[in-house]
Amino acid sequence: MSPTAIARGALLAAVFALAFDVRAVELEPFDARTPAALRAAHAGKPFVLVFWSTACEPCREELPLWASLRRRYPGVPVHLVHLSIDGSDPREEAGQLLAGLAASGLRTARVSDDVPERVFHAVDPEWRGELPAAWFFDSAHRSERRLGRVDAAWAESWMKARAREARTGRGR
Amino acid sequence: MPAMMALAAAALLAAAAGEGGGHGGGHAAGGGHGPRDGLGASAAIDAAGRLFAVHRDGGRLVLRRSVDQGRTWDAPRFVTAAPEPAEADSDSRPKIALGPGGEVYVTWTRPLSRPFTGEIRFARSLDGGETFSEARTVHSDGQEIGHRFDALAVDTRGRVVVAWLDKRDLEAAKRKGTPYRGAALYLVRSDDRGATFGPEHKVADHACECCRIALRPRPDGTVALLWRHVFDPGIRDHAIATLGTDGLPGPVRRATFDDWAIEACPHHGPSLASLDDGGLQAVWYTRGPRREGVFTGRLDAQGPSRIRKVGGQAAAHADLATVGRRLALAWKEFDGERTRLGAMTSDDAGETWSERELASTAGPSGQPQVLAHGERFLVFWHTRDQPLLVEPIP
Repeated sequence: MSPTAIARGALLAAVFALAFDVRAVELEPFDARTPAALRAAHAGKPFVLVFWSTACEPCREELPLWASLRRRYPGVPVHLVHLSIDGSDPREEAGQLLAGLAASGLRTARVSDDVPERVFHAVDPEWRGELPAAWFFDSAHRSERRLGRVDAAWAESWMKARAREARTGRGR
Repeated sequence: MPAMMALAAAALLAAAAGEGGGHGGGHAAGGGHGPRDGLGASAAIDAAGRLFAVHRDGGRLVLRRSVDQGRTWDAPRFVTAAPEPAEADSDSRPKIALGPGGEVYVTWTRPLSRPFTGEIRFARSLDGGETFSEARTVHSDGQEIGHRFDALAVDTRGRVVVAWLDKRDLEAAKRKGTPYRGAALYLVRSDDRGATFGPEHKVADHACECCRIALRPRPDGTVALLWRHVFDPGIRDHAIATLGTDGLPGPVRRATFDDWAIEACPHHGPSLASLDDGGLQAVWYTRGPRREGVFTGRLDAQGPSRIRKVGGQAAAHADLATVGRRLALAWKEFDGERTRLGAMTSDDAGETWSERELASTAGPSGQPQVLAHGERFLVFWHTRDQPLLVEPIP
């Protein structure tokens, strides 16, 4: 990013931070029961589950993609779940970032189990916690897993397909 | 509310371009928040079979010693005179190694105030762990950037080697506006039992920045290093290099060829052990097109041989050690309810293996470590519910 763009972004961020109290950012707890609860809450509908960490640079670089997809495909909820390596609350160091995510319409949560492997296993028995990690659920909740940064073109086409299904009523 | 969305997106871009969005002022990152102690811990065993372990306790780094193979441990002794935070989670944990004269060496990563920064700290005891020297930072680069994931070894001549992942080259590239993958791997060596360290040497650029480094002293006085690398254009396979007896690192060679193309933080580094015939045995994690999971194999120039898959679909964070032709490997694996400590041994240098389960725990745990003493293997595993657990491998 150019210095001007960064300065402009920083100004906007400052204005934005005044408008939202970053300490009030909700981070829903996410434990081993949450994947099933999400499938129930989104029964018959597509959604995306993404795990990330502020400690992971590819994760941070991917965040604007989720905000962009969320804005352009409002029919598909995107859950961003933070995994803290050392158990710390990400709001301490990244409150502004998290507030921005929430304001972009992304649902923010954090892994709340002190045995993170319990959560990994509940999401996907093969997942060892590498980040970023995303599971794309279609309306029948068939899922596609993407470990590492998601290919933006692929994610775009997946979202388009879900939007088409919603329009035509054919999700199966 | 499209205007607000645009504002939010711009703020998001600005924030994501920064360190992580929140510059939280002067508070310490990582370990400096309250009583939670990460379970990252390390142990070493001396010639007499005494165990020395380092872990976090009440926010402080402490040394523990056991003369009965881990059944009981003595009272914690502080490694540092004043409290200081130390990373002890995931692939980052304090390290301990013993010198031939009974020296006790400890390294750890101390987080600095900016997020995901740190410096490599070192302390030594010359009286078997009764008292420790004042802790010092081993590298001369004093920028408040990432110097993390310390690795520690003592070579066959008693020289102390400390390696770590270093972000100075990334920072320099950022200032120039050029891209730089991963972090650099640096090391220092002490020839005087940790009193002083020589100049730091860069072993490699583009190491994977979040995975532990494996060090293994070799019988010839060299030290082998194995780490997850980022090969162009983004292949996170492993690389190997040797620190010569002259104290200079040799060339970087590719060690594994799984072609795992991923832009991610696996937080999952390898381990390395010496084979009787002069070769090296490794254990590593990959999700390349050819194989997915934890694997062990003998490292050959063309790639690993005698490759064997370790554990089940959630096996993770394996470690290994060797005694003669005997190899022992341990790993942790969550089975849906408990985390299990698995072990496998080979009496024929990795041709055939037998598996067994050593322990399990319901609560959180660190990463297991395999120790060799005489003809025997022990697994050290620090867990919340059974701290400093030591299991012999039958």
